[in-house]
Amino acid sequence: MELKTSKLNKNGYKWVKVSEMFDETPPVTASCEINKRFPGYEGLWCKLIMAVTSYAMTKNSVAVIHGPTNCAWAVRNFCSTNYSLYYGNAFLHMPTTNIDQSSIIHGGSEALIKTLLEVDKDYNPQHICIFDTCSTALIADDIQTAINIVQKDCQAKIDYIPSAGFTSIPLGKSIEEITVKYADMMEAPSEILENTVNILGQYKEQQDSSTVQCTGKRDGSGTGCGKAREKYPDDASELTRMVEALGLKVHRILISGNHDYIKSAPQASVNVISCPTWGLPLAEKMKEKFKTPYLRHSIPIGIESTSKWIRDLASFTCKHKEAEDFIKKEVLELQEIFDKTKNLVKGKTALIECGRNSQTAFARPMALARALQELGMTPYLFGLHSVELKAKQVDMDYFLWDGFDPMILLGNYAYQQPVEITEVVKSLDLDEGQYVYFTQDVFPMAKAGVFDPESIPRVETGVHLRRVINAPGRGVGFRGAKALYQNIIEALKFSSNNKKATLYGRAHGKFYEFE
Amino acid sequence: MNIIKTDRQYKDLMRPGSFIGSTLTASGIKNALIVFHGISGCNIEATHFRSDQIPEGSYVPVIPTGLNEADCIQGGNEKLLSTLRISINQAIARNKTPEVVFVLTSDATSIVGDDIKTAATVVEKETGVKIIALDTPGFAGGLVHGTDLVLTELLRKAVTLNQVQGLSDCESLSKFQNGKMLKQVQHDNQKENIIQTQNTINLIAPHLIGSKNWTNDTDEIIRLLQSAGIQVNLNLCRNFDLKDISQFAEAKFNYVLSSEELRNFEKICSDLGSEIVKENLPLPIGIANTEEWLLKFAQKFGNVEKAKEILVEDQKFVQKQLRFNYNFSWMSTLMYGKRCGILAHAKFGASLARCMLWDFGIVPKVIGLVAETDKAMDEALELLKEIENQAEFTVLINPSYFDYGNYLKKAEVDFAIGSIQDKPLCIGHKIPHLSLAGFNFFNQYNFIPFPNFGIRGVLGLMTEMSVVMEEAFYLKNMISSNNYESFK
Repeated sequence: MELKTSKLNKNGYKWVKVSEMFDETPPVTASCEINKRFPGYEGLWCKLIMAVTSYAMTKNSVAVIHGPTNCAWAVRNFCSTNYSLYYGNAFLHMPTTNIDQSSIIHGGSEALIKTLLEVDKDYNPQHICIFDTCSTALIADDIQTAINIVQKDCQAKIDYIPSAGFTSIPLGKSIEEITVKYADMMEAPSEILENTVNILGQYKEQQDSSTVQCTGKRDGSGTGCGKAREKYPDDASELTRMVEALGLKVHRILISGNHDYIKSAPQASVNVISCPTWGLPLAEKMKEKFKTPYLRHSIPIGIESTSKWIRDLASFTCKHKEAEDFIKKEVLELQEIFDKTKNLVKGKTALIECGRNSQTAFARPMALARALQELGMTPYLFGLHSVELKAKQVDMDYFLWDGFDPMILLGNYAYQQPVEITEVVKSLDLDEGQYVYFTQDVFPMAKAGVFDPESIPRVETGVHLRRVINAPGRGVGFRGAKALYQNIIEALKFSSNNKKATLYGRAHGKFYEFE
Repeated sequence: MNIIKTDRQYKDLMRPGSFIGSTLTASGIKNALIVFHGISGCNIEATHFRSDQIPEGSYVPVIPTGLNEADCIQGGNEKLLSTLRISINQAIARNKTPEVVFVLTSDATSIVGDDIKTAATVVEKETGVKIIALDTPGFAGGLVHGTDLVLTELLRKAVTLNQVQGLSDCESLSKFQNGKMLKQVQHDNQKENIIQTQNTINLIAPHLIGSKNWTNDTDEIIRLLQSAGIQVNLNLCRNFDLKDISQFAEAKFNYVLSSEELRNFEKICSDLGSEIVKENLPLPIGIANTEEWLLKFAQKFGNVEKAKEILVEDQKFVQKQLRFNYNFSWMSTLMYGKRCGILAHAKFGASLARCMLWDFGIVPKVIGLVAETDKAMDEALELLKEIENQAEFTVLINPSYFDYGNYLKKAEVDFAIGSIQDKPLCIGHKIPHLSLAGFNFFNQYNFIPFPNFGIRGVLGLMTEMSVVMEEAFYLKNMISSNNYESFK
């Protein structure tokens, strides 16, 4: 689509279908071409941070980071300021092997062996997972041999997730490689438990869904398997409610629980998916290793998607009647607010940002876009870096399979700088009142006098900071849909009847009305 | 005082790497630019900690070179060169030519051995902008190592500045010394100038003091010193104007606030005839520490009478807030006799422990001290000796979080003071937690630019402490329902 008078046009940006953007982007391994077309592409976080963060959802476990103390500190900082702060997760112990310059030259295997023995004795965990770092990967320390040497002398089961930060820079690629490693921690099932379901793709909250005793040592990391904070639930709470409404039982929610909990996951009859990025690769791997079937519908935001997710599961488990009764009851309750919201937004454009600076969010904005389309809006996604999209083929394939392929802003996002949202608005020739701004994660755009919720309705849909009492943060399921509709109504009401800019907007723009 | 030092291969403690120290130092220089030649995880860590310098400071961009897997194996010099050229030329085009550009590395680029020095030389010649390239991987050391590298380079730059004026290395060095000698001559002739020479100090590495409120606390240190007749010549590096580095040697003394040993920097100081403050002074946290700190400082470098004047002035300010104040009476009585744990940088932790005991009557039962050099740790232990006969407590030297948590639990503390990074550990142990230590980033949610240091700072401390008192005693049900262990 040709851009109107926007500066984005001059800089080579254009609106295309998501599938076109995916096809136009070279493979993530084509580094020369990527360097040429996307100057300053940096990625977000690193594989180590993502890997250890996912493991932080497990209990009675210790992450041994084979590298300098800084690497563990970077992860510690991320976990404590992010996952603990927003999700209430407890503390993961993550000792490092304290690699220094001498080890870089002479090798760090001895330090690793010594650390594993000390950690097993001091912390006495059920499970140890080793994570390597840039330095120890580049000097090629042999981690598997270290495990083989110490395992017989350790009580804890020791596993290894390769996680050198310089590998697999795009987030989707690193997640795909990390999540399948949890299948290696699982054991082949001696029996399949009838009518049991695993929910895969959760990685931000510690969950519990079973009677497995996740005993710990009261070492500050919590003793039980933990449960998401009920007042501000995560998606798994709503998905569990949906599973149980069909008369089924949730067997495991992954990644969570302790080692016993994870290793017995293949006993479930079927896997269902929450987040496709984390869930689908693990589901595929479990199918390959344990023949556990999985259902593809993911991240069900909105009435249609939620109904589809439920019907898919009902069809597999022959729970048609239970499903239809449940859907009917829930939709009936939602109908009034759905109609009200639809009347307010029908025909408007939904501007959906895919992470202002991170430029990595895809499944969430897509699922949101699908829900907004159901309300009669026209979704436009922007702020997603092409390389990040390319690395999320799993998600891409899923949404195309579901027949959803909205418009997205294609460009080079040089140095991963965000595009000006005012230019995005211009490029679509939109006037105030014709669109709603849906933000993701952090740094929403606001500049009083130019672009502020005082006149531009802004709906916060970022997974970290959007917290709604008794509704899942991402907005999945019927309860998530209700919360989303409520938020949209409130945002529209605020912007249409108010002319007082927010402090956030004033901090970045016009401070007083008299200016 | 029971001192415990565990000898283990593993480490699990607050220890950001060298490039974070460099970033924190470099981002205190006005109109600097950092080109970060490392992978994304390290880059974002640097970017986040850079933000410590932003409130009331300046925004120093951190531009990543955007390395991918292939670059980390085959070398990423091309990207470094192009990022340097593009960033600098764009800045020049916008009339915002940087005063100095730092190139910092992290582990992968350091091991691969990208030739950052040559890249810096090439682009410096092309653009005329000073570029300082430093190898700062995490495995080379921690914050102190990275800070030392930048400060050392700044001093070298000071020497170079004089070279630009046509002086040789030796002449440049001697010019510094001559500067001092000139002052000495003036000292002989003009009494005023003697005082100026003797009573001028440079503050060194304020970001290492271990307070989450370090920018406001440093400002308060400067206010108190100056009120006591001690001139603060340079603050390296906070809102620092690079051209002022040529005045470095105008201060007779350098005050390394954290007491960490900055080996290379201190050596150059010595070459330049500029001394390091040797006295082991507490940080000015609370009334007793501040009184001791300022009077000792004034005795050696300034004017004791002036110091007393500012202390009295601040005393009046504080008393006006607190005397006959029911809320203060209630809270200070509630605090009295309680037990706490502390996990912080050594000097800050030791000073805070004294403050807790002396000013609030709170017993610091477990004191976890973290330092990178022996000097900082030894000085902290020496400071704690003054309270060893007044309370029973355990000092953990560079403890793992695991050990610290277990000692807290065993000591049955009412609350713990640390930083956001150990908050979930304490909550996991069901111990209310107050962040006073660490850094600003995601840790300091008090947006009022007011110190926790100094006499006036006790109002800041009192405010913070009252929050954790409420958490510990009034909101106990909320703590227990949010304890992460409730589901069995």
